[in-house]
Amino acid sequence: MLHPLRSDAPLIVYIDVKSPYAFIALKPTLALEAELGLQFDFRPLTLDIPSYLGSAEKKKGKVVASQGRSAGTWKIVRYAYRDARRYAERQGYMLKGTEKIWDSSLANIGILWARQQARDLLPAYLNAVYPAFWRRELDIENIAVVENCLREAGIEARGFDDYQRGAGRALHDDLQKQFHPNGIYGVPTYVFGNDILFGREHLPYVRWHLTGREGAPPDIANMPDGSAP
Amino acid sequence: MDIYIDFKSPAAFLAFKPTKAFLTARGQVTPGLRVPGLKVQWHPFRVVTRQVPQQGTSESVAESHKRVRAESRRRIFLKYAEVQNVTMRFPDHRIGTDLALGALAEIEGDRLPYIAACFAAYWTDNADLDDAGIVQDLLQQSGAVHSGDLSTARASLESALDKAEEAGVVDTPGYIVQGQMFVGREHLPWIGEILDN
Repeated sequence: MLHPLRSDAPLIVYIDVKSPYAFIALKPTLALEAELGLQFDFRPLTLDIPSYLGSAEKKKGKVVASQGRSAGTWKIVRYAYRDARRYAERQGYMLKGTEKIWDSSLANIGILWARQQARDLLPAYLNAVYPAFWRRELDIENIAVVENCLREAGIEARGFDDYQRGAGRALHDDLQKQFHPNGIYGVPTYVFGNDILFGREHLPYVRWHLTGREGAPPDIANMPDGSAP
Repeated sequence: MDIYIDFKSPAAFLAFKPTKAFLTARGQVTPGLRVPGLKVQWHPFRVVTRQVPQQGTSESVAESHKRVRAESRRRIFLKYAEVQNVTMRFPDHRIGTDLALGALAEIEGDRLPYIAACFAAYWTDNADLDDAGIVQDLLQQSGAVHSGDLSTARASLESALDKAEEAGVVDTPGYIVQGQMFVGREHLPWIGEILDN
């Protein structure tokens, strides 16, 4: 089992395939990992969105069903999607709003499988899943689709079905139960030392920490190279 | 550029210093224009702030999520207050800011000294910014160009909020630049690119 705040790696990164925030955090996070020559501990946090943000279902871009979302919540959700979309476009990706709240646990268990089978190929798996999912080209609830992404990344997919039904599902579900008691609630979340930081805007601070905490710590308004996150 | 703030918003407070530095670098606070002709105006926008919920004996997933999120946000605000070397004391009860925000909408000319005074009063002393005496003192101390008559301030705030809603503002700190809205100081690098280009 995994302790949500402990790892041998210098940084734990919690992500969820169905989160647009996690999607746009992925590229700069993987770039930081490669730049520093480190291996981060990527883990799944499968968001239970309806429990805190209400639910909605769309058809052809129009909301056809919505539960528990106030006008204010809708405004913030819409802004958040617009914001994620423009940052995705800056990164060269397409981000289409999802038409339902997906169960991303299968694709997220794929992260655990990739870690176990071929950690070096985990970035390739994430890159096989995220951009295509956000182009609305992937049914991440379909085992064959997730297996295909694993193969596309060069990771052995044989045994994944058993894993996602058994040990992988147990590991995933056990981790989910531990998040709130340990102060974790969303993605992307970066965990290191005593810090639990939600949001990619903390990457300058994470970088400062991982590079020896030299000089004054950066604010979130200051990307190290002056570029937007 | 239009900037939307509420004095009781911790995110707006922590955005104030970096935003001033950002504007200074672009000649908006001190002379030496890098962006000729850039006009900046600071506007009021009312946000709802809530106390961090207490942990209940039996919490639903939604309640637990809400509490953990609020605790985490507060911890991170305080962390960056330390990074910025600013005093940030969260009040232990709800304090209004409507009157101070209404007065902000009515100030002619430079609003920055008044904004700085209000933020300091709220976050250092937890001053009641809905109190006429306190707001009048802040107007006077900061040298703001305002009549000192606060009888129209609440109506001015409502009018400013209507305009902000029309402009699509959803939260603070809100930055509108060339028709694009950004919420949060983490967008300043991109806003800078837009302005500099």
